Amino acid sequence: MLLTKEELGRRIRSARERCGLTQEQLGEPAGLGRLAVGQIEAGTRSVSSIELDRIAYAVGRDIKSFFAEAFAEQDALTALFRSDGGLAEQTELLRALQDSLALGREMTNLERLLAIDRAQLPTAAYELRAPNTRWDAIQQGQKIAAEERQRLGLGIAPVGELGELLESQGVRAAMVSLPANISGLTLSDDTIGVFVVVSAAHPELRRRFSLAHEYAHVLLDRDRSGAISRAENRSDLLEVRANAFAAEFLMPMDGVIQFVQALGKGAASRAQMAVFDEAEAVQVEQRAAPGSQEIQLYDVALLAHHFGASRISALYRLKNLRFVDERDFHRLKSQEEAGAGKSIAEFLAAPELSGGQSTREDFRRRFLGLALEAYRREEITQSKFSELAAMVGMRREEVRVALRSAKLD
Amino acid sequence: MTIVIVTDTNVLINLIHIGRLPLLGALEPYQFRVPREVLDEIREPDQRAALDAALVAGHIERVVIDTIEALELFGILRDVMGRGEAACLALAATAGCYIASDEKKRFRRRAIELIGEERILRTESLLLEAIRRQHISVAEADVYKLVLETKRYTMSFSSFADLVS
Repeated sequence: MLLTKEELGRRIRSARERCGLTQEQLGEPAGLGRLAVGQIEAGTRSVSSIELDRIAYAVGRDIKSFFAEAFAEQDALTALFRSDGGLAEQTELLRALQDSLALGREMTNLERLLAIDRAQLPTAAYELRAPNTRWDAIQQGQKIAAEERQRLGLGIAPVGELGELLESQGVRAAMVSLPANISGLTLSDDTIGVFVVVSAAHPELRRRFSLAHEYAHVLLDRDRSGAISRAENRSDLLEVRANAFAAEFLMPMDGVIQFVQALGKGAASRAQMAVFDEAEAVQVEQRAAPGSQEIQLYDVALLAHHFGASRISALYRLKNLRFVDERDFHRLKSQEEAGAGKSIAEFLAAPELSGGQSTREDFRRRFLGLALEAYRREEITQSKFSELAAMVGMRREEVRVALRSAKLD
Repeated sequence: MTIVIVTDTNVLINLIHIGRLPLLGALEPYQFRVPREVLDEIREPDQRAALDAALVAGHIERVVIDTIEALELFGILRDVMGRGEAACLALAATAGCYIASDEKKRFRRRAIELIGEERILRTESLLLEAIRRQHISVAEADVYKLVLETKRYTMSFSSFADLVS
């Protein structure tokens, strides 16, 4: 049954209100004044295709959703708005969310056109009670990271391409411009699937950590439909838990221990043992050469390189696992901050980023690959392909060259 | 009786390439309408200037897609085609117009489903109409054909003379 203008207006108003947007805020990207938005919502003014396209983008939906037989009042963006009342005022974040949702929807659409069944990629979920204390949150995060590593058959090895790993677990990962205080966010609903986004402005290793952090939210907090990871919330228990997960997932305790032992370090400077023969005990004492067990900055550089982590996070990991004490930690941290870590890493050919491709490339590769396939199979037009390519930063000329090279022009 | 033709980007650009966009104002009883989405897709400054001139001269007219039926179809078509294409096809299908588009493959298949092959015109169809109304000669049209080939648009015949006779 064809929708009436009044019902379309009601649905637009409902979507706007659920996002906490005022009529002015909705009208601005659509090029409409408050009065015009009010008239559209009341069904007394027609809305054009261009206006509706922009309105849909602003409320994180696609146009089709307004015409669905049963209008879904709730979606990923409204869930985030519900959890963060001030979202509408944060223009930069709102824009990032809108971009992310648009990308997620297009990805879902491409998979549907190509008959890719995401149901075959079920994303794991762990049910845990909410942590009571920070210590509890750390314990939970570390435990789930170890379990997830075991489930994925990772053992104690480095994770490798995290974006690809997440994709294999049914989680889409993308990179968009986020406000400086936000490292990442997780969105989840039927139209976009499970989608994590990390900040394009952050260095690759930070993004890698953020991806692991968001993966924790996917595994543990998916019932929230959406989560925003803000710097000012890092003490919140769920954020502490996600950070503990990320650290353990990227640098597993047993893996770090084995790595340090392979360097001939990490043992106590003095070890004692008693050998008992049912009558008497013989005391044995082993002393390491003075200073031989001390972790140096080059050890940190090698560890960071091995696990694809930053030297500073490797240093924290060593401290938490008690391979370095407080005094050594500060000594090494000051050396790192003075630039010594970078020099040593260069000398060792052990740069921080161990050959990992950026998250942007991971997502773009898959997105463009699917778009090319959809175009080759004549599921989408060239113009649609160009629009999709533009969404991940490809210029028109690059699109032309790519289609020509693929003999698809 | 006026016949409305919703015009897509590629046809407009082809006519701009050969400097004959004003022809659209001379092909009565056809009236060429262009959705805003299509206008937005033409961004090269010289092409944009030619388009603006044609709008001012009334050779083409802006059109807005705002009926519920057209909006719903526009939303569905956006899954598989660009904004301009979806706008043209949604309007043509719901308002009973013709469409002028050189798109092939996915677009053409969907257009045939929605409005039938007889209501789809191409750049060569418009040049042929211009020949029949004596606005251009066959020789001129053949030159335009060659010009468009240099722009990677090929027509499936050797000369307009084959179509006229």
